[in-house]
Amino acid sequence: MGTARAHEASGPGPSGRIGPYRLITRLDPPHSPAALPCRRFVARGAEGETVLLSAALPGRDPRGFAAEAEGARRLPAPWFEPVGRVSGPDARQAWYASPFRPALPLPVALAVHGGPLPEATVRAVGAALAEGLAAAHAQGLTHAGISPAAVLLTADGPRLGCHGAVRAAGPDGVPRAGIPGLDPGALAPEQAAGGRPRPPGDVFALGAVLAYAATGHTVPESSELPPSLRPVVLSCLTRDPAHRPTAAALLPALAPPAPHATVLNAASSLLAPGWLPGRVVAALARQSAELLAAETAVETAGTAAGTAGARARTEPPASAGPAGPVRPADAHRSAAFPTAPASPTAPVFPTAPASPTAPVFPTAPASPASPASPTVPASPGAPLSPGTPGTPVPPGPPGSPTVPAARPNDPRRT
Amino acid sequence: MLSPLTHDDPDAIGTYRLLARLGSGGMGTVYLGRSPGGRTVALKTLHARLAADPVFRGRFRLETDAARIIGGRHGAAVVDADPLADTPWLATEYVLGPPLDRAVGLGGPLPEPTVRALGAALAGALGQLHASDVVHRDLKPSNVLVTAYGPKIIDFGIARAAGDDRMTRAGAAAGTPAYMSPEQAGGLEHTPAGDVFALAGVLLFAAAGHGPFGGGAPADLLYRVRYAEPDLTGLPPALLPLVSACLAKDPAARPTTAELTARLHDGQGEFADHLPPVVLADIARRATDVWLPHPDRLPAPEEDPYAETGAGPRTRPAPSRRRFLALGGGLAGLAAAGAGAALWATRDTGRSTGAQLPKAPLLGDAPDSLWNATVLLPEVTAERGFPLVAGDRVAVLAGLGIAFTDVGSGETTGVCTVDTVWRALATDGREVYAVPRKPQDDHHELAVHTVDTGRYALRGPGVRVRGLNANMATTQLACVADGIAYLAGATGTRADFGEAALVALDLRTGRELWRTRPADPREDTPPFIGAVVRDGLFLAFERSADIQNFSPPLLVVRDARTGAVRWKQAVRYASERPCLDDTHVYVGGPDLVAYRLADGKEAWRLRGPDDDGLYAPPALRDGTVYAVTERGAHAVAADTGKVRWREEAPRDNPASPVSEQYLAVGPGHLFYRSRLGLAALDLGTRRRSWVYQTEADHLVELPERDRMFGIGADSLVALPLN
Repeated sequence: MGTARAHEASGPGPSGRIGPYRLITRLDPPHSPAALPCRRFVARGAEGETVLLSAALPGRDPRGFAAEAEGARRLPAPWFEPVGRVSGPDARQAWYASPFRPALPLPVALAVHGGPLPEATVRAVGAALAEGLAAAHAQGLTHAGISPAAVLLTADGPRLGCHGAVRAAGPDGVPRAGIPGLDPGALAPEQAAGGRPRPPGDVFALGAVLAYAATGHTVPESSELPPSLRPVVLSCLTRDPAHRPTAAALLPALAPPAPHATVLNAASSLLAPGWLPGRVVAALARQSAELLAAETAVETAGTAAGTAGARARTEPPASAGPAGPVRPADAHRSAAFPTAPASPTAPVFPTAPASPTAPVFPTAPASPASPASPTVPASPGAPLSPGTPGTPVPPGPPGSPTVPAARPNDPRRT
Repeated sequence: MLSPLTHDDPDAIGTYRLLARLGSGGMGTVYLGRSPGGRTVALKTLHARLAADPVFRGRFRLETDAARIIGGRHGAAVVDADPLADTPWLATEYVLGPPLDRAVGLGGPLPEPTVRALGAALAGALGQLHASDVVHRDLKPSNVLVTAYGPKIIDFGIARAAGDDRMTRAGAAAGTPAYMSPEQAGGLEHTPAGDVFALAGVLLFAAAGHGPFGGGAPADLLYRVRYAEPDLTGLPPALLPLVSACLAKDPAARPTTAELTARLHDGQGEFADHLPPVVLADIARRATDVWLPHPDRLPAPEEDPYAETGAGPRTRPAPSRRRFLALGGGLAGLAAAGAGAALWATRDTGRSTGAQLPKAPLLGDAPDSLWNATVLLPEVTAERGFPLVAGDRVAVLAGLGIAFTDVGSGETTGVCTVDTVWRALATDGREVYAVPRKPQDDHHELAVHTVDTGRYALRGPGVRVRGLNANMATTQLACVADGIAYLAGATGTRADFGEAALVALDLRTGRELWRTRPADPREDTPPFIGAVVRDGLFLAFERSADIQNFSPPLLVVRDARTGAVRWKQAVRYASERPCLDDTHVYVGGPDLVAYRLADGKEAWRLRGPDDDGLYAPPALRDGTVYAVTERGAHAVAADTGKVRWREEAPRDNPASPVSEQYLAVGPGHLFYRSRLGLAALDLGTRRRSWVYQTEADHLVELPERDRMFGIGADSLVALPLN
């Protein structure tokens, strides 16, 4: 399989599908400056389950990506993104799916918060990741994919994804500097030079993540760091891997022992109410609400394209299984997917000026009553690229009123 | 919050596949559902038996219309509805935020910046609604859902708009009038200015944890709303002028919503910036939990082996909730239900449906239940307590107060609206006594009231005790006997407990007879108490309420007149209802033990099963102690401890006793709870005679009337004792 073909095949299918999943929206803002080794979507499966879908970048070897996804299953809970289904060995488009829960990539969290995160948040994230890495390293596993964008913030703490991105990006022995998708600030010098990823490289990348969370960039001036975090972050960023602390040694430095904390719950003890700033919580709630309201097409056998907009009344037929063929009914939606213009109805930007009639707090999400309008969670990332709208979900039934499900033939409906 | 579907819930409503339950109450059930296209909604249904009533059905339709009018920006967006279906339903967005009463319950009154932001947003929302000629009419804390982007208002006061007096006739069904405007209370038109009045009450609640006119019987409350000055204690001083202006009796004197918005907040920042961490954490949890895998549907109760030979065709069980599900109830509200579920589940209070529920299918030839009164019980089983039998009425904590039911007919005779918990209620067999909570946390004072069952209100100012806080979870009216009330509580506030204290109060003279500390010297939290007075002795199980305290419960016998400890014993199982006779007190646990009342010495001990099974608190009748473990029932001579008989029960038999329960015993039968229902064991043949398929628990016998009362999932049940 040549690179060009792989590239062609790597975009979402003409139906807005990847594998058995229908895409609802992107997780990351379209033009985020934060390098990302994969593309991430929120998608729905045949059973109606919602997943976080990670897909290999165009041009990448799908087998390496899938192998790293399989390998991620061995990472210990709970601070790593759990891996569910993974694309088969022969798939041209490699992907893996994780159960969805509301989550913001770290760069989006900084964007919605309006700048560097509070120290309590940085410490909680750092302690959880150090705890997870210490457990992984103890099993002989090196993550080799830590970067700001690989860290997802959820209500229950961080989740680390993108396992093995460095290994998958290029073979050992060949310099990796400059490979698209790898965050140069989070790539340990020895790995950039082509060295095999080892645990000290994870510690370097964790230091870069904490620097990013605390200052907004991965390579901060020492003076930018909060004094109380400076020693621990700089020790991680030491150029010589031999002089970096171990992940286990980071834990006490990031999580000062609380009166009741034990070794076992040191990180989770930092996740008390208040660990996430209000606007980040608000963005998580907004993402959750919009995806709860999002509706994807349902095909019934024999549905003609012309009536596809009418809401189906039945469950998807059994034939629409995981590997089911793309149906024409979806075709009209492909144009709406990722590159479509903004939905005009949604107030996308938290900082948008209030219109004269707007209520006091202009940031209330659009009414989810209309299925046509939910905006993507990427919208909180808007400040990264002002003017970039969120990606709308595929439109719902045309001309649907506030009560979209009224069945036209049912006279009993109000 | 989300709880599993039960075996008798439908698979789908409309085109929505059901995923979980959000709440349930007297009016209907609220589900989480998913459309074929994957949209997740809150689905509110009306009970089929109510749907048969055109009044209820009409009200449901009005509610649906009103929800559409509010719309998705200021309310829960309506997605779909079918008010004409056999089971009418309404699908709305699932709102990710707690009701305001719950938000205040999470971490106490909200800080002033939160109150200002909330007030400005609510005033803005009301202003927009008023501009569309819509008046809310029923604004109150449980009708305001606090989301990360601002409040959402649910449940317009449509019952009254429809001229539906039926809702208000049956007790406190229309909920509390605590936030009503004076003009509304006086039967006049409630204009937009009435919503402003209610909004001020809501903000006062948010800032101070209490409404403007306190609690109490609806009639008293209505009077105070119209004529009394509001109680603004606890309100930040900077908010005083504005809130007082909104609470003016003259509608014309109140500020407009636009003025309110401007004076409350400068509009800077985002709404979420003003929310306290506990509320944010609750929002984040709701936003996340809805995505976690939903628990599997609960299995049907196991088929009982005798069903085929039982009495007649198997009747479909009542549309009841299993007892461990999240049920609506109480002022605490339904924890979670988005989109109006909270109110839906709590509005209907203490309303009796008489004996309408289907008769339960039975194992063997069981008598019919005598009656079945639907009452709205507290959500958490442990907060339901025992039925209180007082004279010819049974009282039970339900909905917004204490519901009284006629012992003979099962008709609800009245509801006394009062904010309290079951541990703060007691009866001496004639009267029901209550210690109400107070609006302020720092009152170092509580009052014991008698419930006037003529007016269904607390009688008089009550008998006051200084140095005991009415508002702690551990404030208890342990028992009342011979005109003496025995209380347990803390001397301090919620922030600083002070000391734990037991107090005996003479209700006739108002004099404090004695005051002492709990028997466990290490205990600084007031313990939970199960107590009784007999022959001049005050006998109490004291069980630590402090979850960090692992010391065993104590059985303590004190002199009822002086409080002096006669003796104490560490026990393994504290009973809420001590079982004793003239000579012994009988205690369950790993062993069944009898202690001599006179000196606390062990009189006899019956070893329990070897596999850590426990004896439930025993019952006593005619010189025989009855006790059950999961392995069977035992009858033991009370004086000697000699086993009269045992009935072994296989562990896996669903008709075997469950481990934690309170027994009842009649002249011919021992009654114990099993997974199948309430089993009746014939004391002569020692065989199970029948099983009532009821969830009734916390049984209380009334031998004089040959009946017993139990608390089911959503009803108070009377069963024949013989």
